Amino acid sequence: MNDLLNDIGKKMPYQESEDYLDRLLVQAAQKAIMHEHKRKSSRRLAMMIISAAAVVLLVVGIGLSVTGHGSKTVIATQQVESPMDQFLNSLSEEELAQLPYYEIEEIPEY
Amino acid sequence: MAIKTDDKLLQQMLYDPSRREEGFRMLMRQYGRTIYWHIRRIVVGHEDAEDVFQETCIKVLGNISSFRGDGSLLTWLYRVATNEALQHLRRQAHLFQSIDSLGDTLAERLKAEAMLHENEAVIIFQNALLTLPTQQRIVFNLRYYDELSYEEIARITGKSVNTLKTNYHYATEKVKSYIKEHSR
Repeated sequence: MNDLLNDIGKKMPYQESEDYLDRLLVQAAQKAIMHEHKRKSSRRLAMMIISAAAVVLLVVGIGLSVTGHGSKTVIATQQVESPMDQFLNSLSEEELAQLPYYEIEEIPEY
Repeated sequence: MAIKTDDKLLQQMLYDPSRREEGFRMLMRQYGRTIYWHIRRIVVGHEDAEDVFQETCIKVLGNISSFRGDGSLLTWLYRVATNEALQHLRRQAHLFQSIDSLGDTLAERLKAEAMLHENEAVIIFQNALLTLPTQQRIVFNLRYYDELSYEEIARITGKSVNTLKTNYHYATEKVKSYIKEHSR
């Protein structure tokens, strides 16, 4: 086998001209670059469509929550009185009158 | 003859989006021929090699960021090209048929494309290679034609060095016995 391999070396039974290979390298590189441009622009387009859809959904969602019946009432009834308000509300008129009353100027500095 | 560009410089250009296209063209000028012949030896046909080479270029440019620079750029190109060539052969194989059974089809293609008056020994040798299982054939090609080390072939094929040595040994034995049988 070694004799045979020495005889034929690394010769291939088919050949391509240098011109053909030069052209192939340039054309294949160019097509790959164009393909990459297309891939990037279609990805950008997809991102834009997704963003636009997200914005539309957000706007529609906000619109529904504002115009929806009872949503405001629910928010109002859900408001909680502070403990101070609860305490003041529980006092009678007389008890309220007995509460110490301070003018702003009377509050001591510290 | 193209001037050889340093791999580091090429890599820097490929990583830089503003210089990527220029770097890619230089990469193809530098290694395109080597990769073309590697593909051609696997798929044999002129048209097939052209298609696979084109697909390889697209894959290389689209996945350049996945090249981590562990090995050489050329080894990575060989890896992408080998995968594309194997995928091309898989598409040609019928359902449930292994690509190893494509030997006869590839031999027909070789017969159709071989130059007239070609040395008979060259044809016998090529036919012997086409009787090998695809993996052995690829290992043989990378070692015999491209003169790569087992370590480089391991990086391309993802096989261990010992497996590759065994593959090459079996391939050589089979080629020898085929040539003995078919030489006058």
